[in-house]
Amino acid sequence: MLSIAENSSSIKNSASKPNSFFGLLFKNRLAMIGLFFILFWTFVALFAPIIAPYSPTATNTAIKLEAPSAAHWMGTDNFGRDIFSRVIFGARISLWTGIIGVGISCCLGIPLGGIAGYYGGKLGNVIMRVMDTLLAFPSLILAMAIAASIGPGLISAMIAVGIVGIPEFARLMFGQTVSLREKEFVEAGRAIGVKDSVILRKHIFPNALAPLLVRATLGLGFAILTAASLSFLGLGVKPPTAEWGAMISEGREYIISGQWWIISFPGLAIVTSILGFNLLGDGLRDVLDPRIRTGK
Amino acid sequence: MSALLEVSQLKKYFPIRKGIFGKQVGAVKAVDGVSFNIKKGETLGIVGESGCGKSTTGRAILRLIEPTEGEILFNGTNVSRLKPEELRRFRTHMQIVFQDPFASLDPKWTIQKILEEPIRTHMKLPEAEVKDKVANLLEVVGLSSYHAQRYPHEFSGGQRQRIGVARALALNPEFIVCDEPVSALDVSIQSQVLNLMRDLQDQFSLTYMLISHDLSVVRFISTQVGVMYLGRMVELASTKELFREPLHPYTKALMSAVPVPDPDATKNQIVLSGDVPNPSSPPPGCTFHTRCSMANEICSCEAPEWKEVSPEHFLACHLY
Repeated sequence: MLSIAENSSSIKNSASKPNSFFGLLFKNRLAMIGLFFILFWTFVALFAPIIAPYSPTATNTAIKLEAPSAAHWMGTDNFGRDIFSRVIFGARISLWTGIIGVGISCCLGIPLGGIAGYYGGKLGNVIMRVMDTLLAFPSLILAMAIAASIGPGLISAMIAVGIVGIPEFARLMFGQTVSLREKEFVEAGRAIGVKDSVILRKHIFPNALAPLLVRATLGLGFAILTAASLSFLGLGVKPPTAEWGAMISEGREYIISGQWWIISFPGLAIVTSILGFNLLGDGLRDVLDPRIRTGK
Repeated sequence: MSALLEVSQLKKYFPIRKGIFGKQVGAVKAVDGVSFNIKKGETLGIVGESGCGKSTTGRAILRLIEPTEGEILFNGTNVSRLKPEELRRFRTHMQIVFQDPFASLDPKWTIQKILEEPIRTHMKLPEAEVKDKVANLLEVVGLSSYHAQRYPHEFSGGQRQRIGVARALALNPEFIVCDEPVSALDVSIQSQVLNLMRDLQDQFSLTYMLISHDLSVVRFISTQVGVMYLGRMVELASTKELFREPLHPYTKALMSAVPVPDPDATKNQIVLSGDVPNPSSPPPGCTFHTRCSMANEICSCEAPEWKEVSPEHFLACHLY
């Protein structure tokens, strides 16, 4: 019997951990472009006060509606505020809304989906039908309704974005749990006498993590877009706070009169940040797909 | 020796639901009134075709599947009546080894964590003692303590099954259900794992219920053998007696299907015609009569009684 034990040491010594994950991710060019955008905006958000040449809220009517120049790289808006500085400070708000919004969706959606999938029956049915009801509303309309009922503001925009995202995570976790519940290692846990809550947290959740991670990455882009849309519609941050959606909203009447820079730069910021999260999310999905991962 | 486990009239019906309101339109009788005893230190082998309810019986005894009806007495405790929390604590007495060693170990956990789980769930022990126990378990099943830091995918099928056995042993159970423990393994590895199981039985005075479709596996390790067909037990006897003198026509057919390693041996194989009937609408009377070459009129209308035809030899057949 000892000889069997010894033989095994030579088996697959190299593949001790799924370390091929980063190797494959780094080889995925689109995912790397996405990661670049994300890191770029994270850096900008973190060091906004250092990077920004002006205060994002300082008005100066003497220089209002100025075209991009050496002094004001992205021009100024109708109050004479520096758009470059406002875009940089806007990154903080957008990233925060994304992270908090997706955080709310995950913290509520994943446990709800897990419980519904693990126990099934009436409880599971009730939970999932409520989720279906939430999904039946167009997401932006639902977010508007929630934000409007709480009252406009940054916090209510975050809560609205979070609630709108719950059913997506609940459904994903539900499906994962239903399939994992039937696995023998989960049954083994029950046979040992492990509590249901522990099985859910320590066996089912880690094994369902890969698709949830992809969904969360894609969800960040969506959350940023929804928060910007809410601000555009006047349900998000209040002026004069620098926020990309609100900036586009304020500047939209100047498109016709030729001041394109007021909306173009915040628009570009929204596009690149969402593109970043979507590209990385797609890349993660490819890399985490076991059919593509041949290393394991 | 007295019986460690007494199972009587165990039933498990899976409802068939249809329509939007989930109205029950029938039931699959996966296990339909199975009774047997297992004495301490012995092994009951359960054989039968796929879908005959072998695994469901094993899981229903452990209440991994809730039985529909029936009594399960384990050492005087009525397992079928335990409340969820009582059952959770009672699990230290009964364990299971699964069929598929590739699915029964959590792929994200190290062997150390997998083997620690049962210990930590039921005992409060200092860190060092838990580590010792895990190392000890690995040695008992023929692995080494340095294997503890690895992940399941780094092991071969036979080694994983050893880990599965170690996990079942972690709680010092008296009784282990072995659900096709070797059918996913190579023949050469099968004998190693079976020998290990037999050694462990002597070492820890374990009682086994071995579920298998392989008669040679069952013969090797069992003291008693039960033959199941379509959710019912058709014959139950000591291994010696059953292999010497099978009585039930189904048992005879099973025995004759075992290949003989001799090209010149005369073949008098009993070939059963047809398929196993649908368990949601089993044939009336004896469920086997549709495929039985010796069936009479009575077989198609009256279910045979479960009776003791000779000491410790039970049978459900109208012929005897």
